[in-house]
This record gives sequence, structure tokens and C-alpha cells, in this order.
Amino acid sequence: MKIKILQLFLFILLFIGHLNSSDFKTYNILFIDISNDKRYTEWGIHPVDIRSNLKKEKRPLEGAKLAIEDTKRIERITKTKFFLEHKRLDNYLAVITYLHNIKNTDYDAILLDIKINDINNMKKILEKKENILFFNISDPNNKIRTNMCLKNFFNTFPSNLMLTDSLAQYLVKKKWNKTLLLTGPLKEDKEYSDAFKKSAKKFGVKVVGENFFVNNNDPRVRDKNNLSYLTKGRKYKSVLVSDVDGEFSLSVPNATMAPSIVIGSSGLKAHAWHWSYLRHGAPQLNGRFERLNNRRMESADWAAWIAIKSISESIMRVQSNENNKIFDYLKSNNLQIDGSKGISLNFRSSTNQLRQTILLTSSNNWVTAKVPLQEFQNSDNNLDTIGISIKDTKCVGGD
Amino acid sequence: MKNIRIKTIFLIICIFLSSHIKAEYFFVSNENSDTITVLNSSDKKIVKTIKTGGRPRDMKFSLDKELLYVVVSEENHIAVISLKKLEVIEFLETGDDPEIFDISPDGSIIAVSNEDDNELTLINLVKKEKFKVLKNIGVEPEGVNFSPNGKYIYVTSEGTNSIIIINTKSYEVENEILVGNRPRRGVFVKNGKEYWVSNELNGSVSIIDTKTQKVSKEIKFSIKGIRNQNITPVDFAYSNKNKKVYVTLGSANHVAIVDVETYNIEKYILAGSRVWGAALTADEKELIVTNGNSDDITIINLKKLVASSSVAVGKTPHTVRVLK
Repeated sequence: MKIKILQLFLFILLFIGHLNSSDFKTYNILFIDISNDKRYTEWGIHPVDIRSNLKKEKRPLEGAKLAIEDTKRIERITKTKFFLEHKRLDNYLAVITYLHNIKNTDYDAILLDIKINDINNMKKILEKKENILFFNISDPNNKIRTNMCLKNFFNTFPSNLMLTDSLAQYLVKKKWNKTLLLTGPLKEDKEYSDAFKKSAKKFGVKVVGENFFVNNNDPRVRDKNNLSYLTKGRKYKSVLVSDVDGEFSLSVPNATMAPSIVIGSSGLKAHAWHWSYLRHGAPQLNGRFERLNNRRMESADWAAWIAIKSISESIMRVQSNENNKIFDYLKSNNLQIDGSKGISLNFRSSTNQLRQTILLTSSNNWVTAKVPLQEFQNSDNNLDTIGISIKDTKCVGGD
Repeated sequence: MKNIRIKTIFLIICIFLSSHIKAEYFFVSNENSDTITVLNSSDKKIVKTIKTGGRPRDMKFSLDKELLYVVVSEENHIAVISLKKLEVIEFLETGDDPEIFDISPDGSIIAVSNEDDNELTLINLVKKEKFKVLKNIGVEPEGVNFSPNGKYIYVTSEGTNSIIIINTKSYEVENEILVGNRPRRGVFVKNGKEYWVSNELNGSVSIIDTKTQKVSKEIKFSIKGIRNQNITPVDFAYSNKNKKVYVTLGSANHVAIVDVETYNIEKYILAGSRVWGAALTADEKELIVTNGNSDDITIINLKKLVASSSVAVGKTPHTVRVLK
């Protein structure tokens, strides 16, 4: 008799367990970054903060954490529980090895917060993980958009060309389109200046010259470190500084030989996100981020947040959490994600780049303009005049 | 001679009477100048500007039309304005960042959305205090409506693209319905048979059948010469008399007129920049809308179906309410 009751009890327990597990499915997301990533440990830190206790690495992992918090509030509709796992690896090679070794079933999605050094090699690895959805959430390299061409790889961080196109549109609108370039010593600085040169051609900005700066006080190379030399003579109306490190560019505004607007790494900057944006639900998003992470939200935080949001939005709409259906939905023009930047966003199916508004912000921390500017918008899509279009890619298919 | 005397007396009586008939006002909350503009319904002239403090947004009249409730978002309360004195007489605590609210049909409860904290706060209007805070209501809840029978509260959740239905007996979430993207506001139509929801990022309205609690219809707006992405519906005004729903279309700068029987979009009327708040006049012959980006209101003649005039008010006018 006792055994029977026990059996019945066990049966009930099993039944309840079954009910719970069938109510909610799980979706596992991995966030990968590396410990000594100079983008967070060195670049962009204000010289004053280097000596300050307030110095804090602004890792976009915190944007992903907020997105996971947000998914908890849509569980009723997605019937999905999202889990975030974080792996901080030693270096780029370790990431490659790690990705190489994971199984196709280990995770549903992986957010990559790394600079992709070797696109072809990365492509070979990710290609084999065809069931996993990958997001590039922090690397603006244009080549990733033109060469990756994978069904399961998406970019939520804007490409360099999207950012420089945005600046070029603004210069043309203001008729400040005679530009002097100041390019820094790093590979990334050159990439940004090169992107700007493309944008200049596209929108009609005249590049009057390019000077290369170094960030030191050596009097022997003052033609490279002194703004009086770097900005002398030429007839320019604007100066673009490409300086990912960010220290040199701080001194450029208000210090050019001819009165001029400064854009790029200081002065008027192009961002995916800025904490000063006050419209379209941005204050609410910023508020949630600040309360969770005790700092202000930056572009890569936003890109990590919107990557997870685009997954949860897809699951909500296709009413399934199978990755195959999610891939199709992400690629379709039906996707409409609210990125708290005004109009709805979706992915270009050629480059798998998230179409998005770019915010141009002043050094007073104010959103001066939202790009694409109305004057440049085409008839197809409000967000299509900035960035890489299909004809610039090596990818096959798409629109 | 006698005739003239009678006429004069009559005229005097008339003047005397008219000055004692309660003037009809309408009210506009100005989000960024922290004021409410009071205007005369008849000549649309500004009568008074009431200071409210940080960020006044949604407004509603008490059932007896003696009071106007105004959420003051940055001060975390509702300011209560006496319509006789046209000044703030008291405050009701609401929790953080209140945005939109509604009063229960019996006048006993206020339900207000707290957009930043993702909560819905319930206030007992008799005791004048908070008695419940509901937390499980999505991300960035905004629109709040009591069903006309008082049995449910419908909340639009912008961040989760859904309508959350709360039972007013248990205060439990009874259902959640997926609608379009970024649902901003809702309105009960046909005495509660339908609940219309504005999907700001889809340029559409979802209609929920309140009996089945399912989306029964979607109305998609499209205006020649305006990109679909700029059509961002926000607020509603519903005229039972005209059998029409008026929908403000945000960045499209137009108001759509939709027939509630045929669901046809009958006309798009040009208003100001980022048109959002809407209210009908007492006779339902005019529609007043607030233009968030041009700091003015537009008055639309519903017979001729054109904007007849506009009046400059404060900065970022949010909501308009007409005393009927």
C-alpha cells in the first residue's frame, strides 16, 4: 500500500516536472571577450581618469546583462528563458581555439566582443557552427561586412563606413565639406580615415590633405605632434581626427590654425548610442542600464543589448526558438526592432549589418544630429544611405 | 419704446447669465516647460498658465468634473487641480516616473504606469493613497485603460510589444496579447467591445476583440509621399457620436480618421510636427491635437476635415483634455 502511494507521489512529481519543463524552453547565449583588450583597458580613457579610482573598464558585457534582464519580462510571450554565460579568454588565439572546439549544440547564440584579426580564418570556423547564431557587437571593421557573408553571422555594431558616411552627410549639409585629415599611428586610425575617404567620394566632401600625427612631445618631430604644423596652410573648413586611442584628439578642437569644426575622434563624434539622447524611449533604456551597471551606456553596450533583443523579438514573432526560423526572420524585412533610436531597425540581408540611426554628438555631450539626414534619404529605406551596400560586398544574394 | 426696453432687459439678463455659465476650458500639458496651458473652448484664447513642476504629461478629469488630475513625471506624483480655482490644491504619490493613467469607471481608483520602473501603481482616490504596485507588466508600460465595465485594466507595454490584461478583482495578470511594435496607447471602442492599440513602430493599429481577448484586425496607415517609417501612431480620440476613431500619426504630421464600423481610413489631415495628444470638443465638431515638436496645438474642423487654426502653447505639448 505504502509503495503504491509512493509510486503515485513519484508519478505526480514527474508530471509536475514535465509540466514545468514544457512550459518554458531555454535559449543559451555565450558572451566572449578577452582580458587584455586594449579597447577597454587603454583606449578612450580620459588622461585624468588614468590616475583616478573611478576608472572602470566599460565592457559591453553589461549591455548583454541588461538585455537578459529585459527578456525576463517577456517570458510569458516568448515562453523562453534566456541564459547568459560569460567567457573571458586570455587572447585572440584562445578565442579561436575555443570557438574551434565548441560543439554546434553547446550554445544557441554567441556574442563576440573581440577585434576579428583574421576574417578568413574566423569565417572557416564559424561556417562549421551553422546552428549557432553569432553577433559581432564591437568591431567596426568594414571588411567583416564585405567578406564574412555567413548565414549565421550578424553585425549590430555599426561599420566604420556607417559612421564616416554620417559625418560626411553632415559636413555636406553644413557646407563644411573641405576637410583635412589627421590620421593617427594605429592600424585602426588608418582604417577610419580610409573609410572617411570613401564617404567623402560618396557624398561630395573634398579631402584637402592628410597629415599623420604622433602623440608625444618630441621637438624633433613637431611637424607630427604640434597642431600649428599639422593644421597649417591648407584651405579647409573641417578637420577629421582618426585617433582610436583618444588622447591626442582631445586637444584638437579650438586649436586648429584656421577656425574649423573638428569631427571624428573628438568634437562632433558619430556614435551608435549616446547617453544624452532624450527621445524615443532612450531615457528609459539609459535609466535601466545605469541602475543595473552604475555607469552610462555606450555604443558597444547598446550593440550587445540590441543583439539579444533581436533574438527575443524574433522568438516573439515566429513563436518558436529554433535557430533556423530565427535566421530566416532576422534576414527578412519583416523584422522591426525598437532600438530606442526612433524608427524600427532591421538587418541588411547582404552584409547582415543592422540598419540603424547614427547619433552625432558634440563635446558638450549633446546629440546634435541624427543620421541619415532627411536631405539624403532615398525612397527605399530611411536608413539606407549610410554604410555598405550590396555592390560593395563579395557576398552572393541578398538585397 | 417698450419694445426696446424689453430688449435691453433681455440683453442684460443674457449677459448676466452668460457670465455665470461655467466657462468651457480645455487644458494642454507642456512636458518641457512644466506648465499647463488653459484655453477657452469658444475662442481658443489662452486664459491661464498653471505651474505644475517637472514634466506634466497625462491628464484626466474627475467624474464630477470638479478636478483635473495631472501626472508630474519628475516629481513622482499626480497634481490635483481645482477647476474652480484653476490652481493646484493637492498631490497624490504615484511612485517613480508616472506617465499615463486612468480612473476607474466608479471613480474610486487611479491606475498609473511607471515607465522607468516597469510598474503599475494603484491609488485609492477615497483614501488618497497608494494601495498596490504591480510589477509583472512588461518593459516600459505606457497606456493604461480601465475597461468600461471596470473589470479589467489594459496596459500597453512598449518594450514587450504586448497588451497586458489585469483583473481588477485579484489584480493578477489574466492575459498578455502580442500586438505590433512599440504599442503606445489604447482606447476602448463600441462600449468596450473592442480595444484599439497604436503600434508606433509599425505604423498601424491593432484591434483586440475584448471577448476573445485576441487581435481581430490590424489597420495599416500609408500616406502618399510620406515614408512608412515616419508613420508613428500614438494617441486616439474616439467619437461615439460620429462613429469615428481619430489617430495621431506622430512624425507623419497627420491625423487619420477611421470609421469604426467599416474600419476604412477615410482621410489623413495635416497637423503640426510630431502630432500626438488628441481630444474632441464637447460637441465633437472639432478635434484638438498637440504637436510635440512644434510647441503648438492644431484645431481640426471635423465637418470640413481641415485644420482650421493652431495656437502656440508651452514647450513640447503632451496631452490635451477638453472639459465637457
